[in-house]
Amino acid sequence: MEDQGTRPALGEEPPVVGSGNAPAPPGRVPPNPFSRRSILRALTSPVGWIPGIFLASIVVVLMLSSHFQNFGLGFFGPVWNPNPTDPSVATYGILYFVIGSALTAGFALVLAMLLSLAIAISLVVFLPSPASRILTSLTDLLAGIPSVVYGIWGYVILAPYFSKQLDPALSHYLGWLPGFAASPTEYAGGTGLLLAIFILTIMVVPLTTALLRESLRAIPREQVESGLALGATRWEVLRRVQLPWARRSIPSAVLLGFGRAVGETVAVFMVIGNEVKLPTSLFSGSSTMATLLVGQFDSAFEYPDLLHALVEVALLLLAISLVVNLLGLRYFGSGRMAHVGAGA
Amino acid sequence: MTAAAGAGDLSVDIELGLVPDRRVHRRVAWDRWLGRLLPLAFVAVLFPIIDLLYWIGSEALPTLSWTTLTTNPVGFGGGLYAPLTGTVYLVGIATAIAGTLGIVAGAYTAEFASPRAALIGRLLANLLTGTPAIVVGYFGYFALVLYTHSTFTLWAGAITLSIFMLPYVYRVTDAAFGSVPPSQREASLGAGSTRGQYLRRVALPIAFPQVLSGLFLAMAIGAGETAPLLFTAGWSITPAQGLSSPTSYLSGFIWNYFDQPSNLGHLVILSFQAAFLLIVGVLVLNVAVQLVAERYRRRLRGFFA
Amino acid sequence: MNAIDDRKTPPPIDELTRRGTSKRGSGVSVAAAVALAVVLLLVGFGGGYALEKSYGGSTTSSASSVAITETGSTLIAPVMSLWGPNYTALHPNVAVSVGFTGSGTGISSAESGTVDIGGTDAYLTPATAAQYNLINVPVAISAQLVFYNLPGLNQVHLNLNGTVVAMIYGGAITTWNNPLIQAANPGVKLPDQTIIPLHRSDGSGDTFMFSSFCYLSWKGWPNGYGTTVKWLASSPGYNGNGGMVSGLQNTQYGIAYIGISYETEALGYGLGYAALGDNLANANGTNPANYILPSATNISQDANLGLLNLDPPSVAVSLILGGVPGATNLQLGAGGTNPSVADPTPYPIVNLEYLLISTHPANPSHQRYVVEFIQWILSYGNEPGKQLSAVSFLPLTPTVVGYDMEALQQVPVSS
Repeated sequence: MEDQGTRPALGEEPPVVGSGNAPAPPGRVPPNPFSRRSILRALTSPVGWIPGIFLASIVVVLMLSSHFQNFGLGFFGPVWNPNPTDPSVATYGILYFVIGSALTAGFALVLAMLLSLAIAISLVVFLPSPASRILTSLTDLLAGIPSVVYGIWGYVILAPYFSKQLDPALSHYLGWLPGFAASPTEYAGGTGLLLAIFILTIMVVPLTTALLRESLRAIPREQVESGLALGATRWEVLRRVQLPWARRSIPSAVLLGFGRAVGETVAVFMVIGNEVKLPTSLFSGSSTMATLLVGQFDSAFEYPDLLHALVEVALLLLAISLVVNLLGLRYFGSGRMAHVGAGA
Repeated sequence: MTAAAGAGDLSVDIELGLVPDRRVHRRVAWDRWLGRLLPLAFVAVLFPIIDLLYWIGSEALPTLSWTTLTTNPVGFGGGLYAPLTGTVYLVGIATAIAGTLGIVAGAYTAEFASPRAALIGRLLANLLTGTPAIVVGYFGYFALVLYTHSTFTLWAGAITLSIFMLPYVYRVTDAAFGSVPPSQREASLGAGSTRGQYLRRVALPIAFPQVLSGLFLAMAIGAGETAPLLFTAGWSITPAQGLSSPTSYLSGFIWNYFDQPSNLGHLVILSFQAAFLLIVGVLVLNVAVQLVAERYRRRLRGFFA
Repeated sequence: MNAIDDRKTPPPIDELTRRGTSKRGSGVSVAAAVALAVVLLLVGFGGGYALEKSYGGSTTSSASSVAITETGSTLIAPVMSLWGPNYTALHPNVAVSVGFTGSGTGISSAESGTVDIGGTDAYLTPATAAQYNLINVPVAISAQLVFYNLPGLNQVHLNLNGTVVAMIYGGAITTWNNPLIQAANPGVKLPDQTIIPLHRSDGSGDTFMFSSFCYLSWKGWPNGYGTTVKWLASSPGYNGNGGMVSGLQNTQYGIAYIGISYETEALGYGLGYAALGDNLANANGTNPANYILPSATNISQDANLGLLNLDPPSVAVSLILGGVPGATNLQLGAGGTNPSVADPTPYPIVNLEYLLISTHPANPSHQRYVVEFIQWILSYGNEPGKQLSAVSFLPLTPTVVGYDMEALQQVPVSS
């Protein structure tokens, strides 16, 4: 990780002048603690940590706000019943939300990876340079479309279409596949897992495409050209040279994409139906951890336990994204993320 | 990429009969088919997007007028003046905060931090980017609304938004300062200039366009976000009366009204117009990012663009 | 090929991007970027400033010294967004900000005193209100309709009483031609089809009212009442009233509870709504006289009855089933007792929409503006057929307005 994460532009320099970070080598003039450089350095030393400080305060504030309330093992159980007439039997089980998050993000990721592998390969290998440049910009622009716009489009346009056309057709022709058999009741509103997966896929593709594209492009030109010069076709060079080079970036794109998908809130909330139940088919309404956070925030004011439960869900969601991103960055060095731009 | 040209030459050779091998024919045909099939993935992604843009445009444009932009929402009608200015204020303030902190932190990481500190700093920034927006929103609610015994305010929204935007600025700034050619840096430092002088006179002019594109990027991301603002900026139909009053904003307008009865026709149209304005604003900013990045890329990579 | 296979770790991208760097072109791109930034700033801030100067005057003129903040119920917010600007048009120095944040947020913000007005669909109990020095001020009457999608029968208003509705949602009645439903609807040919009960999947005041109705109407109701309750696994959930309408529209033989604001929309889709049974219908469900349509008169009648039945009179009262015995206790000890209702005419699922304001304001001279605004809502804002009708809310009855005006006297104001 260190070899990739350290900015190599400087790390590979001789440390005397170029690295800029190493202290003056021993045996030279000792640094004057009152020099402008020392003062500047002392003043600015915490600033590199600003993003880290914010991250740490998010964790700390949320932990304090949860009051460390212990919901026991039932917290991972299936019963989410915050508000029965007898509050003493309230149960906060988040299993169905975890399942909803896993299903939506998981399926969206599979689809997004297939699409973005095809797109990234087209961009880097097959398309002529001008087309590639324009389409690269275009996929990057897609990352900029706001989540709430995807949401209202899904809710107003796609949901009726899914309920009247797509879902009945899929259920009719693919009903023999697990997950596609459903009664008309399930897709009556059009909202549900399938629509959420569809929207999430479109939203994640720009990120995964950018990650894969950058890793394919990072391959030394000489390697590609020598392959072509030896008479290999573009596909052969891709398979033998470029894909093996970029191989390590694929799990990383999956992980970073998953982190993005699992945290997406607004658009998913508008199209998933927010039902608390075990999905019986792809058309079922469902909820994710993120939509739970936005959907029951207001009710939480009536029941303090509910607020604590929500904060603990937020912490769990944060932990999941941190782990997933950490693993993803393990392969796709931190230093390269800036090139990915809007997608990331 | 040059690969295209290379393979083209090969196929020309084959067509000329210079490589008279059936296997080669098969390989080349396979290659050609892939070259046609894979780009179809673009259609799969772009078609829905075109549908989205066409729909928003056809719903929003016919009734979009100057009055829409200059009147406040009133009940179920009016215009988008308050949300529009609210977004401008929120993003403006958040950019000021995230820009200042992000540029300083990024420049520091690139220039002064020890390799290990830089590594950790970058890692944490990337992790902050990966933090779900709704979690940042919860943090903003507790830290800036509940614990300050305040209500939903413009400044709480702007600060929360700036946390979300900061790592983008940081990351781009770090990369920009890091991409200063070592020859220039060595020349500058070797000639006796101080670190500060080097940063100002040499590094900044080179890094500036990229830093600026990072700012645009952060602004685009901030303008489109909803989740960090829901529990911090509150909502108001009137323009913000100051930093400590709740405010309206474009993404919130769509969010708040998307489930209102559809017989309130004008309200629905206003939501679409809000969506249209958001898309246009965000795309303009993103195009600015691309323009800068494109020039930069061409300058730096030549054939790699 | 061997040379290629013999690869090492790919070099980081920065290594590549550094290649071939020159300062050429940086001037152009800096200039372009700066120009863009300047244009953006001019358009954004300059434009905003100009607009504020020329158009903002009507709402935020320089004389605008008073900002009233409201936050809370998303049901009240639309009509509040009408009241606020209309009031500002009359009183240019007062601006009202309206928040779509939900009743829970409205209550908590009013309790913490961070807003002037908290909007809520459910009242604060007198004890809680006293604890936080707040008063409940009802400003409108809302109701809930039970819609269904029965091909061929949507033009007929089926008679459904609370017990039957609760049994449908509780799983005890599963088909439309159940004898209990048939008995109350003589002459109607009910289909032998499974009933599909739709519920709201988001936390909402509508679910609170509806589950209260079920809870009060059927002893066997299993799920309690609240803004979020547990439903049958066979019951599909929908997000928001809008989601309920579109879900029901596509669910034949479904049934759904939908706020009155969405009545027009649901009728537009050809859905039918029920005449709901009053509290007497729960005991003896066959008398057609005990089934009430949600007409304006019947809804207002419920609002009056609920109040009249309470001793001492209070606006903090559940109006479910016109205030049957137990109804007031439903909402956690509202106090008082309810005599049984003799005159069975009120529509059963009705509630008041409340504003919460402080009786111990930090700034009495500011509170004067708040009180004046609410007084205006109670008088001009409640004119029949005007602002309220946009969301199908009903004006308060004179009795309720009387209580409100009395309650507002408690608020100390100073000029």
